[in-house]
Amino acid sequence: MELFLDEKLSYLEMFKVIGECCEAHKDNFVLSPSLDDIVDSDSWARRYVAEVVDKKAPLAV
Amino acid sequence: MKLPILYTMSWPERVRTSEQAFPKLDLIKMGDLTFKEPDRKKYPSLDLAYAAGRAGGTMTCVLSAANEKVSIYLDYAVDQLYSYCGPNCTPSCPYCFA
Repeated sequence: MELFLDEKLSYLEMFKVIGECCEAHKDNFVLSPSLDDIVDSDSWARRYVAEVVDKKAPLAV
Repeated sequence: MKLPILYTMSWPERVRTSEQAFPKLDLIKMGDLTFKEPDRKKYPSLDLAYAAGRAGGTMTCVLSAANEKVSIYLDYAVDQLYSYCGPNCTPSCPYCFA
């Protein structure tokens, strides 16, 4: 039951995490990116999300 | 998404497909089209996506990557309900999250 509730909480939080990620990206934002810029931004975003989610719910995601 | 993906993979060429695989849009067959205002509270990512689109540059890339990464966690949350290790499992567990 708790897992299910956690999942519900996580579901709503996920949208916030994506929003936070975009907000955090503003510091590194590139208007006309090279392919490298795009690849770097992609990796950065995935790392950011992984770190944020692990901090919020390290055991029961 | 199959057809858009096919376009991106074959571009600039096109791949011949069958009517069974990808039927042509037939508006007469469809009959009615209904349009509704999207529920922006239910789908908060919609506004986020438009904002990212307006920002342009690398913002859409970040949105897409974050979205993909998040969906892995959502899948993981569902898998956890059926996982071998239970709540102490992590996304890198070789037994449960293959």
